[in-house]
Amino acid sequence: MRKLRAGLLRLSGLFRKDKRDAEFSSEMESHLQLHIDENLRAGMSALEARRKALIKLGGIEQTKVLVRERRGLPMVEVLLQDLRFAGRTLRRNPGFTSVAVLTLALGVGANTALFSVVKAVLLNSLPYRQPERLITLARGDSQTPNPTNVSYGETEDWKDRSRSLQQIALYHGWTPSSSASGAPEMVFGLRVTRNFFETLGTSPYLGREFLPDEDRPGRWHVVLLSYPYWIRGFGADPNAVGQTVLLDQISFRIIGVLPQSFEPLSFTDAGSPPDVWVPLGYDRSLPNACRTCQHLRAVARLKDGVSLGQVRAEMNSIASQLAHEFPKDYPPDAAVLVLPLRESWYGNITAALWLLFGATALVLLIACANVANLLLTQAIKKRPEVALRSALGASRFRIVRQLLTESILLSLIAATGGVLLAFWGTPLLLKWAPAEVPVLKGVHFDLGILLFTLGIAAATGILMGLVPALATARGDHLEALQQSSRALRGASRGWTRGFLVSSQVCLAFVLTVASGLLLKSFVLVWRVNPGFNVQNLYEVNFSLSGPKYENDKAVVRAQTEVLGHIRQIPGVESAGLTSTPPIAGRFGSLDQSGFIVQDRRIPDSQVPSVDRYIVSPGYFPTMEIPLLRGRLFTEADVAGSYQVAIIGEMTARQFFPGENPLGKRIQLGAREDDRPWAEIIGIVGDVHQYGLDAPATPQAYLLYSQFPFNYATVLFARSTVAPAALTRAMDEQIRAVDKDTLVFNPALMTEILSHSLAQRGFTMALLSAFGALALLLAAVGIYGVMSYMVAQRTGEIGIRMALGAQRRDVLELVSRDGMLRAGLGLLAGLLVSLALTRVLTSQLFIVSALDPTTFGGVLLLLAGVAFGACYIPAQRATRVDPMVALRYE
Amino acid sequence: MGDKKDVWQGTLALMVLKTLQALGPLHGYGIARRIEQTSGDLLAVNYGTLYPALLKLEQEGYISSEWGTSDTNRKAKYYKLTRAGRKQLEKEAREWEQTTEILARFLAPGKESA
Repeated sequence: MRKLRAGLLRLSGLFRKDKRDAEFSSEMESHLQLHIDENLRAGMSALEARRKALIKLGGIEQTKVLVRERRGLPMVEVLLQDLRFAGRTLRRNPGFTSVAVLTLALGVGANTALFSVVKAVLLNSLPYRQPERLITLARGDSQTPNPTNVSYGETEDWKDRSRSLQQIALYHGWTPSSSASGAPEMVFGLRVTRNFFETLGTSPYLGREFLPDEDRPGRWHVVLLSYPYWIRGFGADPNAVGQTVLLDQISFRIIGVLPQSFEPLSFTDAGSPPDVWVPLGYDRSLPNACRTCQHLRAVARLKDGVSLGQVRAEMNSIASQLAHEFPKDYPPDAAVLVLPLRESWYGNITAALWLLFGATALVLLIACANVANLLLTQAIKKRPEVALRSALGASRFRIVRQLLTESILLSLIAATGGVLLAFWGTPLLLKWAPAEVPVLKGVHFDLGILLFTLGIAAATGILMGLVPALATARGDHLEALQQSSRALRGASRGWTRGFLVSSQVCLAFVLTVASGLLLKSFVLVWRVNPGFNVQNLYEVNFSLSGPKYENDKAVVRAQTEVLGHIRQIPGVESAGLTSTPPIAGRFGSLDQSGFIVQDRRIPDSQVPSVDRYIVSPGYFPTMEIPLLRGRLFTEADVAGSYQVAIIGEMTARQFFPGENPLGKRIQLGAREDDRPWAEIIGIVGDVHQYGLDAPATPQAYLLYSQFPFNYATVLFARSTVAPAALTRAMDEQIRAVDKDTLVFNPALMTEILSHSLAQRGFTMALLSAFGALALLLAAVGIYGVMSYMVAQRTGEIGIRMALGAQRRDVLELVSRDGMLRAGLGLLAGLLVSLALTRVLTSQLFIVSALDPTTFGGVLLLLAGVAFGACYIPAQRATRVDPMVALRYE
Repeated sequence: MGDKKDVWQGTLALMVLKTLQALGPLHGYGIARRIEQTSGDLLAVNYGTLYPALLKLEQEGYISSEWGTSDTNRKAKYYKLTRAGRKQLEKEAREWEQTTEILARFLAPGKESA
């Protein structure tokens, strides 16, 4: 307590120093006078009295210093002194300071921005109770190494047999239409089992959770609202609970509102958080509720004390048991994929994020090396000053500390700039970021990020300041005082400089190679033929809802009518519809079914699967998917009852090797011999279903009138009409058929395509930006060092030229030095890259991590840049007038 | 003067407090003189030690100071004991007595064998 009080007083002692000094002087003065008075009383002469008193008092100045030290905090005072001095030095060299600050601010800003993303995605815990105990489960086998889904039946068995799971909750996406505000609009929702919220560890803010009785077929017409939807759609009215809403023309009773803090994060693929939550009410009596019908997702909570390894072992043994008991449904190698929730959601962007984070760290290192080089130049100019201070008794520690204060001050100023840069830059970054990562909305500045920035600023300051500081404080001060060391003796510190240049080149090489590899992948991905013509292709979705569409015929009639209306729009060349659009992007749409050939009897578990599309005859001409053999669907097929099918090229090649598939009869789904079989009438080209960077897959097409589907219908139109006008016209025409139809997600195919490559493009663009920054910084670094060296050797060059050296010789002399260092850097960069680029593999497409053209190109590019940075100063050196140069000494 | 002993840091604070208790408010010079006199001129108070010690005591709140006028009509800074200083004095004096007592027992000749 007393110590604290004393400390505070000492801290305040740092201020108003002059006044306190004056006061102490007068105290000393009075002390002296009192002493003299007494000596006089003792009978001394005035002179003697004063002399004795002064002797007794001892060194007044020393006492003052002692008191001053006791009064304030000497450490802090020295620091303030150093700071003031450093501030003066930096102000005196505005050019140096601004270059250094800008360089560092870019590095620190990039790091801070990336760290805020890394923190939100990889470090912050998910906003659920004990999130580390949450896992996702998915059933796979060797054929499907990255499964995402489960079937209802198998999870019932898992529940019964597992001892390590506390809860398993199931959910799937649901996007009903709501006409609450006039025109129908799409509402994002999830259908979940009643224990979903309990599993995550949340309970409603208003109202109640689902009752067990409500999670049943036919009983599930109750809804929980998300907090934002309650605000937006119901004006935060507490009386909303108990009211009813119409979703898909069915009335639902609102039973509660979820808390504001509840973040649904990545439960939907659409990138939009769900607004409504309704019970799953799973009907096991439906034909698509089979054991292998995996259209649900599972999130589960582990029991306390159960490890991930234990649950993995347990789930896989259960999967083997089930495969044994139901050989018809499961392949013998059936397994369960158990992933921590975070990994399951963000696993695919984790690698890219760490990659970018690493890249920014490299950029910062290069910036550090640059500024260290600048500081070194400054330090050499400062040598006489340092030598003088050293001669006057300053300790080496004191001098190093002074110089370090300068570099740390520099990095702190830069950090301030960097934080501002990141503060404004991060939202920009996030705007470009792919929407598949909704958690990015949670990126914001907080104390942790500030501490991180402060930490790297301090580390940067020390890292870049230490070498020059030690170099300056070391060394022969006598020599420095004599000023004779300047010219030809740069060699001793040349080593440090050379090292800095080489390491810059090395780091820049690594970054440039990495961005080169990604760039090449990106270009190659774009060159992939998607299997259809993306130009002037337009997509819109519509969904027919309500009781009147429970009849399949009504659905087909409405779909046909819509097609007819769309074709009427002026400027629309053709139109077609499909159940699933190619290039799974925004909705991750996919629809896989078993591919069953009538004359092949094989166990169900070995039936291959294909992507299933249910289309109209106009689909192929509209998409410009080429017909390879046979014929396409016709309007006659639509009207007729004889079932027909078309298959993709890969399906033909894989499932009918050496056979003619035309005329074969197939079923998609499970084998049902009493159902009609569809005859294969044509073979078309393959389309890329899972993105341009994913391999083509086996595909099969059925006719919409023969296999009616009533969920979102995807309509494609080829037209040169401006998108905005077309959107309006299509919307009108679709709703002319039924005004309650929900029309959503209109988009140009080219947009969808670039969206599907958004993450790849984002990573590539950022990494390229960092690579370019690194290249620029390295070029500036080499240029700076070379210019400095040329300036140092002006005298020498003058002598050489006076003695008859040619321009060429001088050019060679100067640039050889720089190129040697750059060359060493390139060599090191090459080796480091060869070792490091394999971390990129997951982000590459076709391109090998050791792609020789990329490596070669980068080598040439960097050598060129290094040469340019050496050549300009060297060129300047040759223009030195020998007379001027000689006088320079 | 060279043969006189300098006062140890720790004990100087105690002496200052005791002096102020005995004599009331007093200036730095007076404190120094009093300590020297009380020691029978065996001690010499080093001002380089005294003033930092006074400052420290003041910062810790054991003494306070204000400017006043001496009996010889000189302006001087007077130090006086605070309530906390009085307590601290009692505490330190007690501790010191204990210490010396213990040491005395150790150093007293012959007692061990008795």
